[in-house]
Amino acid sequence: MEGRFVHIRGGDLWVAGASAAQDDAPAVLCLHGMSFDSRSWAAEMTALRGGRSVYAYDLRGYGRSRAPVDVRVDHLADLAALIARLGLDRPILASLSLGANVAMAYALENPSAVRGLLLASPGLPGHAWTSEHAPTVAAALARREGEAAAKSYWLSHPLFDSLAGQAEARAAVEAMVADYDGWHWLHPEQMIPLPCVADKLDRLTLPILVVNGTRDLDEYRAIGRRIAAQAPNARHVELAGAGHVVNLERPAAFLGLLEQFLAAIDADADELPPPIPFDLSEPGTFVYGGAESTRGLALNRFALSLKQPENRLAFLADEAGYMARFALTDEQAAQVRGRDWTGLLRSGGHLQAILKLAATVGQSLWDIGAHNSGIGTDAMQRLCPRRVSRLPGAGEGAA
Amino acid sequence: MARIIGGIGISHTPSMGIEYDRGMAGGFDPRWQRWFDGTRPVRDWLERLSPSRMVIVYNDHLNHFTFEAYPTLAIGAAETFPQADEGWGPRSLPDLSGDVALCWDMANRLIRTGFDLTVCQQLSVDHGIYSWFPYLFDQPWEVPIVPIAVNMIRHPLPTIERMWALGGAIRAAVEAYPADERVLVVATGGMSHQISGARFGMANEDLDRYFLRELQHGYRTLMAIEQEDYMRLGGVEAAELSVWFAMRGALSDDIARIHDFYTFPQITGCGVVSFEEPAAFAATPRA
Repeated sequence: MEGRFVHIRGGDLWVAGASAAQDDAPAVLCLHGMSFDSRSWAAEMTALRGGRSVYAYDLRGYGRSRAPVDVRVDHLADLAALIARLGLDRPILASLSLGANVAMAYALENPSAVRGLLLASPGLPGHAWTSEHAPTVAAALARREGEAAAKSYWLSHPLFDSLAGQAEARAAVEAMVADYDGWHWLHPEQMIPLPCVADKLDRLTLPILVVNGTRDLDEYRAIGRRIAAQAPNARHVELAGAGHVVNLERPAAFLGLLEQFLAAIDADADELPPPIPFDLSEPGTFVYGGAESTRGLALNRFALSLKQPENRLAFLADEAGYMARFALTDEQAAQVRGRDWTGLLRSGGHLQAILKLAATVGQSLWDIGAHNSGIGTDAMQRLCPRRVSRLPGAGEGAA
Repeated sequence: MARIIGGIGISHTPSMGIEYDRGMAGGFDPRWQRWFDGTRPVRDWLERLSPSRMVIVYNDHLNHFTFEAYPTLAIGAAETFPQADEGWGPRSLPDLSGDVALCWDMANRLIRTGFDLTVCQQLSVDHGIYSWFPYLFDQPWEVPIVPIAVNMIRHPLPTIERMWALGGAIRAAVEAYPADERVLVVATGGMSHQISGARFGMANEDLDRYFLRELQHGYRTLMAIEQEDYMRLGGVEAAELSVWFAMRGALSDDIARIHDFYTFPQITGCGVVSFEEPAAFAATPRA
């Protein structure tokens, strides 16, 4: 599989895949499970290519992404930086097990940065395990008896029982585990733990498809059902006969589910605002200077007066009467009446002053920003933060 | 004599303050939990360092000053600096205390050395200070401050070179002060963000991390970047990074980096970095 190293946070992450010649559909970024690497997504990457960019990366310390020397492993910071560096505009994350944990935590913290989550055999950060939690045991074993003992325990765990009759999937898993050096098991102190997701599933409002195998451990299947029940826009599917490594065990069926999921998201893709230019011209940016300050003196005086509660009440009771106390131009008064946030900024209103007016009429900074960008407030909230990546002195970069 | 024992650069944003109050009352939103956790080491270090005075260089957002008279540079000289009501009622936080003698001494020395500050004997302070302050300092807030306000809302803004020179002048003024004070210099300004225009919400995390990384030793490189380039690449409000040089310019080249942290919770890059001077914990030499 073609790929390249991307330098992020003091180390190189291996990213397999390439951008499509023409992006007709949102990009897909794949996150592998513990002790695995990007090779576990080879089939999906081949099948989805053409018309959309598809990537799989080796999480730090796995596969070809070296373990860090002097920074702690922060999978969320890595993912955020990687998405920006690849220039992906709100990708869909396809993920397995550990990768699904990272994907969920990322979507929770960056609700607008992702369009959808495919969670295969997810764990759940913050979930208190009642049955034996294989990664915890493997880590303890690795520190006590070494990496080889941990791997031997790991591969013989019931988690992988269903691989017994599936030579191809078993060979793929064994090859990846053989190449894994157990770094994360051996260096828990250098890992930044994922934040709790379990008690905030109701905030994961983006489209989610959870896939479990019927032969996976009971607790993983229960977690899958719980995510589907509590995340408002999630669906749950179980693939008969598959175990934990559901995409390798039932490749065709899994791919079918993934393609359906992608098609559904493509169908209701939002209308997006234009990309962010790296210049300071309008309407991208209003630079506030002396001319604006002169034009907006009365308007800002009016807007800032609304910091006082009694003035807010007076304005709300009689907008025109209250505005008449200030020497607004007719155009400015009309812009206030029309809640024309962009017009008010053009008329010399300072954002910090206009914000007081917005708050008085029950609107917020988000409404102003959305109006300035010509999209709805909900869409803007989903879109932010609008990640860009460019350093001083660099040439044309992704916006 | 007084001396500078360390410095902090930190972002501010209204939501940082609002989320602090919500977080302490009923648990943090996960995006802000990260910021809370990430600033704890700075809080712990400050407790050990226990500065006796703080000079805080910040910017107001039309909450104290208005366009009737908007100073480019101003210094507070008062016994207390209350919280400004930004229009949604003040948060339940105490006033900040001032050391009037030090305020005047610094104002006098800064003006004599070429920084013509407007002196404010009444100064209320907005989220420029109040948003991050509770993350770093537990109540009661006992360390008196000297606030220096920098215009960051109307262009032209003071230049990066001017902020650097202000830092040097702050250091000279502190070192000329006769009392044995251990002074921390804090500068606060937003990192990458833009809150109006069609570029609303842009977020350049790479730029912010680069800035945090280079501020200790690579500040000459950072200073060579035009203010306008910070605005182009990081959003128009990223110009507030200029303020950070007033802190770095007040410190020596021998500082140690104690901690830094960065996260992007919503629409503003949130970063913090703390530096310590070599003799920060040495006994104060007697004059």
